[in-house]
Amino acid sequence: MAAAIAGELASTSMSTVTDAVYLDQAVEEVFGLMLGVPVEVVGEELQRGEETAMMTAMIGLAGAISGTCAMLVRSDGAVHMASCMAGTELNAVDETVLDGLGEITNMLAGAWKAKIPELNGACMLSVPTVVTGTQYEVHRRAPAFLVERGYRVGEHLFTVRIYGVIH
Amino acid sequence: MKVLIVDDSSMMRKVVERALRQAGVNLTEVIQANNGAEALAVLRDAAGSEPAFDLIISDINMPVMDGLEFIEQRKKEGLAPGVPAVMITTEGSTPNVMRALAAGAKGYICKPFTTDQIKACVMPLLSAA
Repeated sequence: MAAAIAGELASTSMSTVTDAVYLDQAVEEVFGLMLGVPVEVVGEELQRGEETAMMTAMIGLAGAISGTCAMLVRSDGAVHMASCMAGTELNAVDETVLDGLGEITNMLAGAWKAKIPELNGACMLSVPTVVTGTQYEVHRRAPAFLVERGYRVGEHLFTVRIYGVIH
Repeated sequence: MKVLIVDDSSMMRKVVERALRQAGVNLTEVIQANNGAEALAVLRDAAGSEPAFDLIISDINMPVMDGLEFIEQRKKEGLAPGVPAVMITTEGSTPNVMRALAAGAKGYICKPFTTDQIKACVMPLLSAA
């Protein structure tokens, strides 16, 4: 069943998977419903660069696709997001902020795949991983697809990047 | 109402508790568990007490023991059999929903969710209890 779904996905849905409109909708839903704040698409993606205050939350994707859903945000943006979600003012990166960032990324990944019928039942999500800082390397197979968008929430920029291989 | 909330995210446990209150559930006691194994331990400890819980709300994707294993094991052991369980998860695929319902879940809510969705799912279960 999964193989048949994956085969169908590979042949028909590359354009669907890379269509940024699904990611935009997922981001809008998660931030609107769970954080109670609007987001806007911006033209620039936040890059890791040399900033040590950068945080990256990642969810592994497995099954019909192997890949990653990652959200990059500076630490002050992460604190803002977690504060909105918790409904209380947080002041610094702590376990609550790390937990919130991972959960937001988890919901983004889930909401994104739910919009693509071929993926929804055939793609599983890992538990979140959150990396602080920029001194790390991600080694992966050459991704067959990449969808990446920059957003703004309040005064904070963040980037969501989904990439991987379709089986 | 005494509720057991099972989620590996402390943030989500707070969000779910807040959503229940906003939905109009009169929470008198909230017990939290980090995963299915912890939740089973809570239910085993509570076995024989009346009422053990009025509602169980569980995530699915958790380390140690996920939410589907949790409610399947709960059914197998006959723990709190009359207490409705609702799954709140990002994993909204049909196989997961079917497996949860087969294991006795009475509701299934996908994240992100609204307070109205919580209300529509939970209130009839609490009224029927």
